[in-house]
Amino acid sequence: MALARAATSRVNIYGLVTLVALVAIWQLLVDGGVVTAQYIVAPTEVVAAADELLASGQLQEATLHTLSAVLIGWALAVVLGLLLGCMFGLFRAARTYGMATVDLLRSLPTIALVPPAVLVFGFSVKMEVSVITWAALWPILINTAGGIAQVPRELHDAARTFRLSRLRTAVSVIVPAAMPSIVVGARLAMAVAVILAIVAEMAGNPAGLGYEMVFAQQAIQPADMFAFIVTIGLLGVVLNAALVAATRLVPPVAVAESQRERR
Amino acid sequence: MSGAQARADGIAFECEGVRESFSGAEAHGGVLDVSLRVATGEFLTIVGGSGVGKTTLLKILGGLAPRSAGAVWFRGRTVNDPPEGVVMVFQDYSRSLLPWRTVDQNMSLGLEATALPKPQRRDRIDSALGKVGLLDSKRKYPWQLSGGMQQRLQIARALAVEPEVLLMDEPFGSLDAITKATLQDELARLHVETRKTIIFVTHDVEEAIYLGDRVVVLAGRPAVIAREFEVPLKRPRDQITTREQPEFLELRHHVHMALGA
Repeated sequence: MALARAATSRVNIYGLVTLVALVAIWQLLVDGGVVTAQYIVAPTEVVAAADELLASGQLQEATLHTLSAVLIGWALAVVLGLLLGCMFGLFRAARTYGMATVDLLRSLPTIALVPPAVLVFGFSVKMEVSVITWAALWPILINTAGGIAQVPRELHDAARTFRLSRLRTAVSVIVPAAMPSIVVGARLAMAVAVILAIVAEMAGNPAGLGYEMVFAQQAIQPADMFAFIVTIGLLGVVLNAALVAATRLVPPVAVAESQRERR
Repeated sequence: MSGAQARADGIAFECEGVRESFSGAEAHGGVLDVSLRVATGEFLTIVGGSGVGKTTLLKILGGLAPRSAGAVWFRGRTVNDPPEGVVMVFQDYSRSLLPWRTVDQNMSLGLEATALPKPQRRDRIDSALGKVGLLDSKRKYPWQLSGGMQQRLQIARALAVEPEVLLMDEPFGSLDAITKATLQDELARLHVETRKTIIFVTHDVEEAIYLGDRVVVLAGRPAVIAREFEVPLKRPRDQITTREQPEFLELRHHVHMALGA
């Protein structure tokens, strides 16, 4: 069935080969003495460091912290962004009165909000989550409102000629039609959430991968530092892949994708 | 005319001095000034060039577009919003069907506003799908169907709510000639079987004559009803022989003349 086919993701073997080759080149450059910078370590040393961090449980603990902060912050952003996005998308008055405020707030660089967030919430996970939610909110809100605005006139007319109530029209027609765009917003939000989690941990909350990375750097432990960086990268990749797989189970998205494949 | 009178006279739709003067982006639509009566059970075709305001007139009748002046009654009641018993079938089927719903689920859209219990919904959906020959495609998605089948689905979706009136906006306009002929005959048969009132907009003169009991020519600026023709051809009509009849050819001549072509 189309849905099942869309849900299975394909592994790009050629892409993996390139990645492995790049890591191998890194190893050769360090081993062969081409790169002599003191703090650039070989991949094998990074793996050894990661192994030690795993044995002590430090890596798992930091990853779990960052992961939960990202997921909680992102989930809050999805709920808020969907609600506000639907409000802006469905009600002209909300757009007229509110969109200027949205445009102003979302163009503030969120990183600049970390110091005031620390001041308000202290060095805490509350600070981290609120910064993540703030940053992840905008892509969802904008893509929800934008997706709703682009629903074709004919679908509105079809709902009206069948005398569907406004609520029924929104639930059965408008929001599902906007779903592919909403999902794009949710993916952008996830990427932003990971970035903001790391920044918040580097600058504020003393926990998680971002904090551990800075700590390793200050303790002059480059192998540990790279181990945390690689983990952060993997976390982003895994979260994105999981989200893509999950959203392919949403019928409007699955259908949009199989339609695209057919073309 | 009062509501009771209208019903007694067998008038489904009536409009008087309906005007529409567009502003802004839709200015290409032109301006309307139309008075019209449609009898219950009548197959009325409205023919006119593109941009003359056919779609707008149909949307005004269906309560989907505002008018700047005049009055519209359906069974004697003023139309402001889509009235119960009137359903519109749109030209662009690919944009009017819900791509994330199967054929079956698309069918239920029209019934979602009704309080019909589930088993009866099932019956309605199956009977409407049967009428257009789509029972075997229930689990498919609209975009897996051909254009002709998608338009059949849209017609079936409208039939499922058992409307008194179908408003059809160039429903066969983007289909190939062979599919178009098949669907014309299916629609003519549905009309005979169900005796529904059909108001059918088209820019195809032959289609208007072939399908209609009466052909109304919309032309000019503001667009007015330039001419009206009763169609003397008997039903069932035939794609080959009907179109060769002298009455058909004569009517075709007159409609083209009225269009100013």
